[in-house]
Amino acid sequence: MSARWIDDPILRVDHLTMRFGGLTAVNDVSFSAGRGDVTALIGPNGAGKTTLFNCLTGFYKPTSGRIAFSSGRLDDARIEKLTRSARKHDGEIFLLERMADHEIARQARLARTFQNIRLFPGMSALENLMIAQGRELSRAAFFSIAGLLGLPAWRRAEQAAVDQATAWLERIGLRHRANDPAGSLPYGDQRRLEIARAMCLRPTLLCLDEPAAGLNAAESHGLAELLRAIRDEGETSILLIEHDMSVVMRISDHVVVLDYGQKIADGAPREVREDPAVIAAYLGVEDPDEPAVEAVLAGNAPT
Amino acid sequence: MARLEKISSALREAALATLIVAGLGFPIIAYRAEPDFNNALALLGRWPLFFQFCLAAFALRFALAFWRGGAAKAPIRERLWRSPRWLGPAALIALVVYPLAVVGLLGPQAALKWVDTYGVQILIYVLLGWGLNITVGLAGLLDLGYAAFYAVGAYAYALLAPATGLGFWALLPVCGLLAAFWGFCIGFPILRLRGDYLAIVTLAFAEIVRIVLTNWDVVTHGEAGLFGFPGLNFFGLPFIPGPRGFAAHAGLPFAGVHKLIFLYYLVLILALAANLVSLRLRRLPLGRAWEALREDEIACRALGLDTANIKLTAFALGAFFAGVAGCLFALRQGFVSPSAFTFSESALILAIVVLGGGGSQLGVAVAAVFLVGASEALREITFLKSVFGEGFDPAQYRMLLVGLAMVAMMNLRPRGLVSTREPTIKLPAGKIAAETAS
Amino acid sequence: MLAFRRGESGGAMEVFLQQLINGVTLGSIYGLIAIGYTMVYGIIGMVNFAHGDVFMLSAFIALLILLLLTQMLGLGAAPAFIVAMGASMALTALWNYAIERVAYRRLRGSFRLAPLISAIGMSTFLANFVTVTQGPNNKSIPPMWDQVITLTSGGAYDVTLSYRQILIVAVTGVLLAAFWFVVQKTPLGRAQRACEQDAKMAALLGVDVNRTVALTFVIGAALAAVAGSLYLLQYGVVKSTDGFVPGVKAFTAAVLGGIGSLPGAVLGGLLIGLIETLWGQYFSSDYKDVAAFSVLAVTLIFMPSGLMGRPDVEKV
Repeated sequence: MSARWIDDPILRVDHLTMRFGGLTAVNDVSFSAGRGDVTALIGPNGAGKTTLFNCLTGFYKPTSGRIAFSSGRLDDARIEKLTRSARKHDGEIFLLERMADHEIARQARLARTFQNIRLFPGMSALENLMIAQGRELSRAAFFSIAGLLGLPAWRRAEQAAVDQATAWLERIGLRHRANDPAGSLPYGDQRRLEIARAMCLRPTLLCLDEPAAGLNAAESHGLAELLRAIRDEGETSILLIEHDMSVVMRISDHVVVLDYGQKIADGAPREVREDPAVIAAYLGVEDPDEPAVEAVLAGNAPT
Repeated sequence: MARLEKISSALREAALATLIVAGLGFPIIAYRAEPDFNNALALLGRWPLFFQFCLAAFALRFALAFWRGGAAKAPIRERLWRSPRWLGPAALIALVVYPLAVVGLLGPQAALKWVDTYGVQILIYVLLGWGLNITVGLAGLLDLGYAAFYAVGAYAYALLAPATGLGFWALLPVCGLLAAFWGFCIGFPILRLRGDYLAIVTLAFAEIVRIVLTNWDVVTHGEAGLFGFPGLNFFGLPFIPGPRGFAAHAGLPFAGVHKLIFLYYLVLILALAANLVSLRLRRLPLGRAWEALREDEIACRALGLDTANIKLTAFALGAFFAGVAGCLFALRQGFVSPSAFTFSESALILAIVVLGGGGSQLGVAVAAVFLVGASEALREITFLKSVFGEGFDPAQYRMLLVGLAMVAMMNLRPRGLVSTREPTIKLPAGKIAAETAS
Repeated sequence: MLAFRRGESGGAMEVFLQQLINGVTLGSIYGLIAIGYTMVYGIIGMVNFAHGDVFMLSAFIALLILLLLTQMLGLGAAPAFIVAMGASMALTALWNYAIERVAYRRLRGSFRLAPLISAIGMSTFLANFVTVTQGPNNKSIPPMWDQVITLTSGGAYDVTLSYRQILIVAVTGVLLAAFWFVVQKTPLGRAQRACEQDAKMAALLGVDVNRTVALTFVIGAALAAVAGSLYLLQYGVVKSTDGFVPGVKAFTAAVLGGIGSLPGAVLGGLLIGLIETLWGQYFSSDYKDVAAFSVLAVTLIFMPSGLMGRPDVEKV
């Protein structure tokens, strides 16, 4: 079976480099993520994973390299043609390194979450989800005019948005907290709410930055279930950074390993787990027979 | 025994506080420098006042330490006060009846001050407060130069009314739009700035505007300001005595208060319209985006919100209200000069928003009534003059108290700007209960 | 001021030289105030909006003590001024200590604009407190040390350097050297730098953060009091609204030099002093404040890390 990230990628990163002054955080990294896959980006602390994420989502402008993304097919010839032009996208293929963060979310439909949760803490859970549907709602509000007048088209759009938000709250088990400030929710609920908020953008690619960080075993199990369900619905591919190997190994189809800003391995979870370079990077030891390493990469690490 | 210890520790605390207050007050309260008849400065001792301050500090600190047990502070409980349902309509009726009631009770002459100072002036500040509330309270963009937009509105009317011959109905939106345009222009270069830097730049821009107004004599007449521009009329009927005036047409004896009552209702209607627009906008994507921006700008960008547009609309709409208020100010005063648009004016409007608890429309209105109305009321109390001497002007203390109130507000309710917030959209109780039941 | 007026009819080079001297004098004063802004910003990331008013207050304290000493105790002008400056440093430091305690301490870690709003409130309070207690009018004292050294003569116009200008620049220089020593070599300086980097970590490692911040305010106020006293000496006049504009200009100096950087604050102060005097001379004295405010806006918009500051990377 050949891999989807080669046959039908949704995202292709070519020779991406990001420097901050003298520090090279991401160094000539290339990889692809397959359509419909869960792709995990792993690596030790400081490997450049979050920086890479910030380049993908437009929060940083990469120093050099290309990030091609498509909701249709990523056709090589079309990517080259687009690269030669000065345009950001041709309607289907997007060159993310040319786009601003909000354009990436709005036009290319890449949604993301943050390592340290970034909800709107003073606003209710429902409002958080409503804000994520701003694109559809602003169109219906027609420069706020239809909204100010309370025209029926606007009311219908608002009701549809509330319905979608309610469905997501239901799905993450937070419907009873819909009217409470997001900041008052327990930590695990906030993580799930942030994912639900990103999903309200109806993204083609969902980028999650350490979604299981700080969750207990039961919560991270639930999270894995949720992510797998999202993937299985087929509308959204997932790219995640994760430290919790039990989550990575359970749900990912493809693992990319970074160390010191460089890609050191790329493949199916089973292959990566046995890669000596990965093992060395993870524990800083040369001896791949070390049982602890095996345990970490198998996802049974004592935490 | 324990009681004695408590007293002695409270005494120590109080003595320390007294010493600090004595140090703070030593030359600045104990002496006042005033020029004598040779125009050289001479010192006037005010030791009794100084000792009163020390005594007050001692008593207060002692009481605090004694009753609250040393320096331990009781946690400040934040209690949400929900305004009852009837309050809005009741306030509205009171506002509509107010000028007529005052005229009825006091007669047209004595009512002048009540309609003008306590009516029109306060309502203009309410309008300003609601406008700035959009920028500061909702979008979380600290605008320290709000008075500049107010000035743009006032000068726009004062300059355009004689130049174009247009009436105030036509010029009201023009003043608002011009101010909004300025808000846009000032907002544009500072989009990328962090909160505190943004605040300082708005201050710098506002000061530049004021200096230009002060020195561009050819157009603005400098410090002297502009006056003699056309004032209010009642749909074409001027408020003048004689057969062509409003009073004659309405079959009333002429009274100066007619014009003010008309202005009062004009300001009231505009303020209510502004309120309605703000309240509605909060439920729309734009208004929610403002609040989201205040909460977390980076998250906004990750959700595809164009923060530049959101900031610009917040600036421009806040400025629009200020421009309209400026136009009304020019109509009320009959003259405009740069001294009305200093930083302390911006600070006063900011204080109205901050003390009003940000997001809350009613809070802002109450704060405006309190800050503007109370100091005017203090001026009325002749009793104070007999205590503090003839030269005593309580208005001097207004800004002093405004400053203290801002400090107190930030310290006692640091998240005061959002803590009483009601969600703009709620899932009905039935829908929530459905799940808890199942 | 007088030299400035005479300058209008003088030779071009002499005028320029004279304005350079005046600009450096003014710039020294701005630099001293700017240090207060930059230190507080460095340590708790707050724009201490009330600092300009603390400066104004210090000038009033110096004025009152100066009058007290000369009129009631009959001291000579020179010793009286030195005592007044010292007393003003101590009392202003006490004021700023109290201000930090009452208005800012509890707001560390509050939402980001709370300290700034509180500082604006404090600024409003201080300006009006002085207006209420001392009256709104100008307070002027007779000129002191106004003998001058004539640097160039014979031309159309004499370039002069007054004794008090020498004093101002010298005092500023000496204080800055002493201050630099404190920040670089003493435990206090180390604690300050630790709090700048990471207040929570510093606290865990046994640095008393509250004490360090309080001392920062105290030092900032003492330097502002020196500036206030020298301002009174140089211009001979002060009024209760004098805190705002010099405060904003000194803040401009701090931003221009790179906020958080001490040498930057001094450099920025000198630049602002020069820009202001030269602008006033060659363009328009009515619009000289516009120059400073424009520099502020332009610096913040186009190079927010200033000349000597570290760039600020947005944390996502």
